[in-house]
Amino acid sequence: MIRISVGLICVMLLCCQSVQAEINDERAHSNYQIFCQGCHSPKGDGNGGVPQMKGLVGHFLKSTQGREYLVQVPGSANSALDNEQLAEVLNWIIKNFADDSAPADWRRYSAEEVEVLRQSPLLEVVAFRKNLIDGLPVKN
Amino acid sequence: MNILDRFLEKNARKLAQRSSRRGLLKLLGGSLVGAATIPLLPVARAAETPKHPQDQGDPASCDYWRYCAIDGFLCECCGGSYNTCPPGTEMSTLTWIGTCRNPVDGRNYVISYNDCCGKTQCSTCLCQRDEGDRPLYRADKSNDINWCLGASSSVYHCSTAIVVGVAFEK
Repeated sequence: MIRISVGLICVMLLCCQSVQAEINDERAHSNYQIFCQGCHSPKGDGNGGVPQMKGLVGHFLKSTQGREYLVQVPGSANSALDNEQLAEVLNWIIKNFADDSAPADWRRYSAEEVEVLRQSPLLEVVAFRKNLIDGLPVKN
Repeated sequence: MNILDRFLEKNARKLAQRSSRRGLLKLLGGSLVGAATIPLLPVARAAETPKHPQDQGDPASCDYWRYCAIDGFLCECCGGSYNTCPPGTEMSTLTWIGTCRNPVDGRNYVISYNDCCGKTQCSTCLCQRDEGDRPLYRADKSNDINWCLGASSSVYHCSTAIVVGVAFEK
């Protein structure tokens, strides 16, 4: 019985892995360059008042509100990217810029999740972001 | 030791009886020439993504292919070049991004129109082609913004056109 349960868990885990959204690196990078890089810089370093993503962006995935923020921030929610493209670019950003900041088991964004969240874009972004960061379980 | 000697001798003789020196030279020569021609095959070249596009045209002319989405003075006419700022100016890190088709290879390239800032406007070679430009309410896709807001001085001088990548083709 234990063996069957372990097997079932393995199958379920495999299924969960398989429904994770795919990332086409070449397409996602190109969309990042065209729609994000102008402000966020080629490596997500941030500059001129634009927040740094490199090595930090993954911290937002440590809370539900933080995860939602990455979609609802105006640059994401109001971008010309469609839901699938936005989900892919967000996943690409976390994969390439988060370094150690993202939780090991972070779940990729799906087009469906993005579609729902971007219906409620943020207005007072700076204040919202400050409160959010203060509440994140991150030292320093 | 004798066993090893006998074994090696036996196999060396067998090999010598079955092969010729000319055959070995032929095999070696064929392999060397064959290996050298593999990169020349058309399929190998077509698979490569060009990092630096082949260029054609005059960077001091507004018709130059990289300027398809530009709106400003060409740094090429202002003491800089299409990818460097003139002396005494600073390149803004916030930029307007567009895509232009290179007439030489037919590919679309991602172009970063970094503004050069810190001196009064150059006022030479004004070029306004605006492909992909959107109204100001689409701030991320509007080239009417003063992108010098990303530099220490917001005074605009001229614009560059730097290729940052190849656009993804569906």
